Amino acid sequence: MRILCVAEKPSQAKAVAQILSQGSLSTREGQSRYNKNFDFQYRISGHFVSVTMTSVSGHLTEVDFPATCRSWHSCNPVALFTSPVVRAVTENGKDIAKSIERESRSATHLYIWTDCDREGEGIGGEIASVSRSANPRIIVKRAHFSSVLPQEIHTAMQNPRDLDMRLVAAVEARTELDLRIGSALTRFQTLRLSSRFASLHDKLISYGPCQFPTLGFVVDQFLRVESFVPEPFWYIYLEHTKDDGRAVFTWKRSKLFDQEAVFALYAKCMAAPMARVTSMRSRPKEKWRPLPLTTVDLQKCCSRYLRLAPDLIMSIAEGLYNQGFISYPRTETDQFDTNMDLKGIVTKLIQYAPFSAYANGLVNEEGFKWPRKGNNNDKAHPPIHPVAPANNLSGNPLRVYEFVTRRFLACCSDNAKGQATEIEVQVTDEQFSASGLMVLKRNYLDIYPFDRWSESSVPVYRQGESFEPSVLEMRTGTTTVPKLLTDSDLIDIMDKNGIGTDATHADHIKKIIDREYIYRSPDKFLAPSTLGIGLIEGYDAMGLELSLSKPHLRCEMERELKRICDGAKTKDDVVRESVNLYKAVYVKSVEEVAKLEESLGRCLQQAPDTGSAIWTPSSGNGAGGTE
Amino acid sequence: MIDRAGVSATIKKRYGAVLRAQWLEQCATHIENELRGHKEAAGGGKLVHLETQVRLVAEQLVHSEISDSCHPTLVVEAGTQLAKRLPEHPGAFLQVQSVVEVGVSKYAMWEAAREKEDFEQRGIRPSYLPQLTDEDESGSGEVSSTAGTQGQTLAETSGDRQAKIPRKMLKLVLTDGQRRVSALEVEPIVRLSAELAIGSKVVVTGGQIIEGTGVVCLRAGSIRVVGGAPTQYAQQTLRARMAELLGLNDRRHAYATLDSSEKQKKILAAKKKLKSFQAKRAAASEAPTANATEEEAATASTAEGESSETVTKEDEADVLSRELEQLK
Repeated sequence: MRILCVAEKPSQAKAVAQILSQGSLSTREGQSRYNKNFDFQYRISGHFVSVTMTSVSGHLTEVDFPATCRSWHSCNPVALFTSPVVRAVTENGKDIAKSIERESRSATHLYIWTDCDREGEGIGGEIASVSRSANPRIIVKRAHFSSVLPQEIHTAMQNPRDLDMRLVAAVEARTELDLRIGSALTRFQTLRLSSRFASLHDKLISYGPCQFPTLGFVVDQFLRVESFVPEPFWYIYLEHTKDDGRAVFTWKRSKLFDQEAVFALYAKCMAAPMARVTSMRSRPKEKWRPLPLTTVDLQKCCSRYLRLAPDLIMSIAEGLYNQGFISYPRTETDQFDTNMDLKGIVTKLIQYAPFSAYANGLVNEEGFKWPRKGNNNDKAHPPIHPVAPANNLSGNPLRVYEFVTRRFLACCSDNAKGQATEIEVQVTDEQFSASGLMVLKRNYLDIYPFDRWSESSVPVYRQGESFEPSVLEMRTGTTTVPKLLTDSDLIDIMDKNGIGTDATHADHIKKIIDREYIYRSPDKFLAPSTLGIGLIEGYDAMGLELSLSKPHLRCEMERELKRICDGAKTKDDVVRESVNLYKAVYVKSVEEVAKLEESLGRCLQQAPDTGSAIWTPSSGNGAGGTE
Repeated sequence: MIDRAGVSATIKKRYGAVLRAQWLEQCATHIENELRGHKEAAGGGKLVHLETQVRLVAEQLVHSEISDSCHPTLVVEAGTQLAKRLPEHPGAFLQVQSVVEVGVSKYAMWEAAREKEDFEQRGIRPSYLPQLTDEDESGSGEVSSTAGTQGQTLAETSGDRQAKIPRKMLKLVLTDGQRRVSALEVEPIVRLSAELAIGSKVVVTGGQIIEGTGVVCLRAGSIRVVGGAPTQYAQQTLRARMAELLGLNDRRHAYATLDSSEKQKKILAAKKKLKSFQAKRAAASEAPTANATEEEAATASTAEGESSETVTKEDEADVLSRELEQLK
């Protein structure tokens, strides 16, 4: 028996090999310079077997169109929806593939050690097919792990599963759809618009089924801000000063946007301006500790509190994972499995100097509490948590690691406890309330400074007591213009609308910044460029029920991809349905391109060029594909 | 065939409406012609029961313009022209001239109405955008924490969002054909909604009128929606009314052509003006005697009183822009 293990990246291969070989491995060059082979012996069921650990560098193969359609001017873009596609090894992957073929010939088993998410499974499928082409009888297995910890790695090695072909199918479906839809629309948009507007002459105006809805959110919020009309509102203000303090009461109706209405209610109060205490309650109040950490939350919090861009956060988190400091950073799960030894992890964190005292308190002074359970479980990975103390970090990696650790320790702490006093008061028929808070035990707040709980005092009242208000008047305010989106807001919106997965949110944001559709202002707000606004308004003007700029199309597609993973639908069905849908949308967009051009013209403040150089879909060189 | 006197008396007893003779005559004649046509077709001759007559006339009544069909019934104070009291049982028969959600900003209502329309007409589910917070920038009001996900149901956070119109407190402007009266929903009344058709007919019973303001307090039992949707008001959907009040239709593109620094300046300038006005008001009401505020309120109410007389659709917009002007 001889096992060939393949990891997703060279660094991971090395780390895993180090653990499995317990330090005694020998390195060997492979066909590819960056992907070395590590040989060692491993003990399985009593006897030793030879193992070679190697790696790929991400996707090994890619889909593309055949030569007849590959060049931009070779065919009418609509043909791309129905043209056949070919899957072939990437240019960079050729050497890696050769290496794998070579190693596979002398192996009996292939263990896939790629990241345990959908994309990783897809890459695993590619590795398996390359391997089988050299050795059709090789047995393919899949190692499942969530962190690069010795115990987990050994367990994974000794209990391999089967490759989940449904996930592989979902990834194949997604890459094919992204290729077809992205290419057809990118070619159409770029060729057409660059031939019509001088300032867009050499620009790539790409379309991606996730990028555009993301851009759409930024533009929608921008337009909301621009068209905002401030509105005045009125409310009744009640205040009472006693010997032991001052109470400011809030009107139960909060505020009304009609002066006559508030005045009428105020007049009713003034007819008999005595306040009667209808209830006075003092009761314990808790501020809940946070939920276990998911990827979306990691990005939102780190971008908001640490002011880092989402793509940077993810690359730092990956680095921390590969170094063995935190668990796999791409997860939707916000509940810890009851089998996990969380107390053990907290004990390990006593070694981490800055939080040593706090961690000690949790373990040795009965402060430890099992974390709250959220509603989500992707069944693949636990919530993000620290796995080892990291005493030699600095800069941004240190900040991210500290955030993850603080969050974890806060999850394992008790809620903050306080005592709240709530007073309800009535003047004629109008109701008001006031409240005070005393924080008795800070608990998790001591380790998690990102949540605030402020104290306020309120005087003592008796139920049934009546008093004359010190101040009872009508006051006014005005609504404030909403703000542009921050990274944190945008990730939240993408998540809620089903655009992208936890692994890809940051990538989509980066992409639309690279394409100059949006930009990040110095104070971290996201604003669209005139090109971005022009595109979105143009597509919206086409009045498409399933507009390319709204999230519905992509959200539906993500749902369908999920159905493939659950085995509820086949890849062919999903691809066929999605292709038909997007093709219809594409055809409509071509028909109504004038609206897109008009909108861009308005936003860029240029008139579209006229003349013979205008590109139309049929100006391609003929052959290739059916309409 | 139509017993004018009998129908008139029954309608008065049932709905409180005092029909104008001329309108009733036209209506009755029209119905008689229709019936005659049917009778000939049916080939028989039967007297129509009074109940049916009442029903046929009432159907016409709810779709009519109230100033055409009814005599005014509101009783007002001689001096202020504010409503004094509502007629006793069965109540006052009035027409809904406007329905405004006063607990929510018009902008938020417009967005909600637009999303609902998009969903109903084009099947586009509303996307999750960040919640608008109607907060006071100067911080003198209590800042309500944005509900965010706390207020949302599980269905909303994990699945599809429903297109809903926010519902806090409605203010109706009702008319008897000659005079207007404002009515406030002081406790939630299920049968009312911001989407009530303009021109619908209602019967208001025993509502308390707030001293010195002429505003009626509506409680659960005090208003009955009879129905009707006169075609002359059909264009005034919730969305259209909000867009008009906000002046949205021409605004968007005018704004879009300004460059961003100009827009920033505009926003800052508007904010400064509002701040200084608020500071002035705050200084004026430093000595919070009831008198001072009553005076202010009195001037406000006469302004409102004046506007009650005009019957145009621009009413709300005028009041709003005047208020905004005052604030500027």
